[in-house]
Amino acid sequence: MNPNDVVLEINHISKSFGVVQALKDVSFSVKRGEIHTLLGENGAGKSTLIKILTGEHTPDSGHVVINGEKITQYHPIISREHGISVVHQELSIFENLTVYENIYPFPLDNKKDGIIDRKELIKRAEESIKRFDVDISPTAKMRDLRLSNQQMVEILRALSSKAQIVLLDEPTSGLNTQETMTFMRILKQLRDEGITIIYISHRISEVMEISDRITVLRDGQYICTLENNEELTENILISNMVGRDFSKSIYSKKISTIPKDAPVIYEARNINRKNAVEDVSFSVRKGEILGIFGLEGSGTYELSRILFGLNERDSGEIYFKGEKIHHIDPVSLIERGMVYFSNNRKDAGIFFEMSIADNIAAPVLKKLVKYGMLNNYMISRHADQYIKEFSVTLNSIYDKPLSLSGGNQQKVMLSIGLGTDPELIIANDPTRGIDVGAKVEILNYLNHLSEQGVTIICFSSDLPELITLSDRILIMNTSRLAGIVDCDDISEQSVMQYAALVQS
Amino acid sequence: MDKQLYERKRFKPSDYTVFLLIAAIFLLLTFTSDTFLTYNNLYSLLYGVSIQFFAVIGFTFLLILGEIDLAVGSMYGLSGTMAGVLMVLGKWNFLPSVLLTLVLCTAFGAGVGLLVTKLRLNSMMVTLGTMSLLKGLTAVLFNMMTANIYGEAYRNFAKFRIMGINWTILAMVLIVLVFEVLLQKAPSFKQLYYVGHNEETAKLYGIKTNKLKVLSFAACALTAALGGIIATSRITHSDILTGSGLEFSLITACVVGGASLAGGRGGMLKSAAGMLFIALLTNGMIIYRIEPNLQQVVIGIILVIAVSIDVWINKYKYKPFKLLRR
Repeated sequence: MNPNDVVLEINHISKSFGVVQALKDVSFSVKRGEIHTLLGENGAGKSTLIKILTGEHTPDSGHVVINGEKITQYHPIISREHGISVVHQELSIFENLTVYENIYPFPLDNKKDGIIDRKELIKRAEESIKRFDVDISPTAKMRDLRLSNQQMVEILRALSSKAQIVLLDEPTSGLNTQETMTFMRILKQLRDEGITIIYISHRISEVMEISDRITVLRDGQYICTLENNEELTENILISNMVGRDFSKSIYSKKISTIPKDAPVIYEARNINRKNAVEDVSFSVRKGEILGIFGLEGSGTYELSRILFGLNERDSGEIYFKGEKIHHIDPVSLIERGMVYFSNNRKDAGIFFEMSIADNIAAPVLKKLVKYGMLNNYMISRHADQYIKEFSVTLNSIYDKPLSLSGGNQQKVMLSIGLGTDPELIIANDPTRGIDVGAKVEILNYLNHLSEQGVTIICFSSDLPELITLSDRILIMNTSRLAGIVDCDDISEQSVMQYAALVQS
Repeated sequence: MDKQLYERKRFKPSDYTVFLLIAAIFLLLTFTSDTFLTYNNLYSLLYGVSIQFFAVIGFTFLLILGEIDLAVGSMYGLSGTMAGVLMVLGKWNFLPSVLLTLVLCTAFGAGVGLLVTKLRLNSMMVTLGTMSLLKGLTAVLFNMMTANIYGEAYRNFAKFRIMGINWTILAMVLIVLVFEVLLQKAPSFKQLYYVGHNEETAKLYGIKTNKLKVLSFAACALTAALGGIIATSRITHSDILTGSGLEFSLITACVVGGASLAGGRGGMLKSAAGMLFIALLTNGMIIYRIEPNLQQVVIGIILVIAVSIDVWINKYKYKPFKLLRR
């Protein structure tokens, strides 16, 4: 490879956040004027890498080389000076401003006596819109545009700063097929004009259509860079994305022991929520662990919240023990014996500034009373039971969870829910952001609960974890139910097929 | 059971700041003024606190929840005038006038609570509106019946004594004791703290956050109205200035007492102590003949300091203006 062709080099980059190592010694290079895709599961390290390139994160070790120049200081301004610009997954637009104001939010080079030259900006915006042959008026209000056009404006903004390298983080997640095609055409046009594009997606067919080369990341490690030629198939990509060695890890494939005739305890029928969940129905048998898997944006998170009444639904019914539940809200669901484990304890799920004893007592206060008044002895007994069961490491049950490690905080959070003696648990990423030891303990405990007849619906973005846990895995893709895999057929490959391929 | 696991750290210095402040100002005034440490001065100070104290009862619940009612002072001002209109113009008896007033005020508070919960409005903004609304309403009622001294039954309401002590002082002591216990020990009251600490989490674990909020807004209006009726009884006639600026003294008192605008903290004893602190401070300023406008400056400074310290202590969870954001 001619060294002049290399526009960007990633050299042995590592980065960790607490116990989680997001990137481990990743190295690869990107050629000038190519569309280079980063492919990987949730948590593979794609976003961390992007954030290092945009200067939002500094690598723990290793460095980035842009145009032969080694970056020593990581800051968004420095990245921009090197010609890197980014279009994030979530739109970052000014809804109430016009298109041209969104393309040039800080027109510093365009001031007459300190006043913005509006006409000149509109003319410039018009030119750049014309270049891509799209139909947008530069003076339209941003909020009146279609999503695809809003995205287009974001890309125009990214290009407005004379970018050489454009990072696109799942730009098509909100687009329909036709819009995606227009978008692809524009990307190719940009490439032909000599701009380098780094593209992130996990829609495999899309990736195969657009990319010149594909770099696969898995669990924060570099796996390979593949040329996109005739020999490349979807299966090659999927097996590179997954392909863990199960014999050497903490995970093992579950052998289901649920009898086929176990009674159905929970049923969701035709759950709908606009732009998030489309007509999802499923049922769970008593004592079963049902895994629900989907890549980011597939609607699993929204579904989990709808099932516990934390988000509104447009339509759909839930039956528990054959009985229709009329009020789907946490209060009545807990009374019926369900409980929800939040996926992000930082936002909800734990009272960081109350004592651990008070935390564990939270949902069952009314049971821990004598003569109608809370009884300290009963509260500490109740807390004690779960702290022993989970072997939480702590100094005093009157400490605050803030002082505990992530794994122990997670155990306290599970204790709060389990204190209600639930018959059905809706768990959302129950081992997120904790160390391996605590992870294994929690997985074992969930298995142990299911053996005792507790039913668990486990949402997770961690596929190996679901394979270890689940009797069946239900897969969502673009808001819909894409498939259900029974225990005997569960493998990373079979699940990923449903999750990553576009459904026809 | 492992003993160390169950050891409570009982003493936390920051819990007692307000009592130290009270002791300090008490000693200061005792030694620098002749008039301060007299039975009459202290009794009338306590009597005054005991009346305003009613307004802080429900207000404390709201602060623990992480909500606020800025209209608490206006409600305090409205109730006495409203009861007066019913008695003077409507020729109603004392008891039905007072009861109807309390019912109407409580219903109003519950309505505010419903707005905050159902429409997810921000309580600071809503009650800024109701503050203006209630003030205007008070002025309208006030103009309907200028210069009317209220009937004897009403005038005697605040004066009623048990064993030579005004009933409001005894009531204050009793209420502090009862609610201090309830807030720590009764499940429904304890839930206020959970909601104040993290509303989302409280919802997740089946705590009826909206119900608690509506009830607390109603309680705040009820106790403020009751306080206002007693205050009006004490001065024997309706006064347009009753309760003006009270919301600021209450916030200052509660925050000095250890409550947080971010929710999850505070207690009845601490709120009462905060009220006592403000009263001592005002008393001292009167003794030193500091003019009323300047007194207001001092209260303002104390509020700013107290709130700054609150934000600083609760850095971790403070989303200033959790109250402002939804």
